[in-house]
Amino acid sequence: MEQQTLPSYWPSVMVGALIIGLILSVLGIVSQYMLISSEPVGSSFTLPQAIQTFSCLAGAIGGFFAVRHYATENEITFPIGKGAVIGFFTGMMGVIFSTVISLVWQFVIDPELDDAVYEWAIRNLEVQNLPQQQMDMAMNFIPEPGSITTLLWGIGFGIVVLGVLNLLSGIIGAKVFAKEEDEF
Amino acid sequence: MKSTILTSNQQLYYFLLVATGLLFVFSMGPGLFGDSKTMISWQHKIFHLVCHQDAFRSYSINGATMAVCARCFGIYSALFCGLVLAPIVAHIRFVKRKRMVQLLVATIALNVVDVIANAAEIYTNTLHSRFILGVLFGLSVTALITDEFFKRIILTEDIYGTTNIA
Repeated sequence: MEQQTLPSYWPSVMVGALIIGLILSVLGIVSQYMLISSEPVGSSFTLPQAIQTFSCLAGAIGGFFAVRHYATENEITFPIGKGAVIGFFTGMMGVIFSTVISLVWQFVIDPELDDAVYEWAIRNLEVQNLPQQQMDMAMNFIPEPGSITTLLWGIGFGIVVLGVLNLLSGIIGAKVFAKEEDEF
Repeated sequence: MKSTILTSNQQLYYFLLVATGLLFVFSMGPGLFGDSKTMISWQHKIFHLVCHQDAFRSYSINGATMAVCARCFGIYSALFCGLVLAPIVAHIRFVKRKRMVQLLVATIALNVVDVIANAAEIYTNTLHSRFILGVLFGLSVTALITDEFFKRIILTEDIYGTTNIA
């Protein structure tokens, strides 16, 4: 039996990753501006945080769209394993694109944004009147502006969590778009 | 009529089982590991990107808030449990893919309506209702993909001895 050679999935991965990278970074930056323009009230849950979460959930369906792009552009069918791989790479590349866009914003366009967010987070903690021990502990979890460790942890966690979620959405995409019609 | 289970994509199945299992365990937060620090743990950091982590909308274990909200916990637990049960569920019945896609869309719509209705103060959802809706979504995802790993086939004389079965 002749083996079918599938076209490269990287163009679709890049399309999906660019879309989710833009969603993640643009909504992330907008939410940071919303945050620093609001008054700290000691709440651990804020509207800007909700917007950021929405942007990341939107980023989790990148795998679905990348698989859809791959299947429809090439008019092919393929196994769900391929969809899983496309989904995982889309999540991984999306996190990298988003990090690059955020870094450009942080270092070139508005270098003061990170400091302002850091100061806001500290003032928000102070409003909570926590015991000193808890305060110190909480301070350790607020990312310091320009910290390489924070950046690397962010990329690492982002790739793992968004990678797995996009892998799942890639599988769903493959089930919906890349199956033979007679199986439906 | 005799039937059996055909297995496929087993490496992907075991990878998903481990990945969703870890997400499920980590989503329970620091309380599971006997740590009572609330909102400040590595588990919270992991899920910071994908969940709002509002303490008032999250369950807690040993006095520590879980690392995700009740809805997300429902999704992660259903994904893991759904995959664990996949080999058993496959024995029960085979439902067409089209129906499974419709079920998935319906559970997404249910969750969206719930969030909007609660935000618009049409009604107030609860921890348990959010958890149940999350579970429904997670189960609909696993229901859709289960037949890629375990598929029930009816044994007929034509295919007897021609397929690899579990």
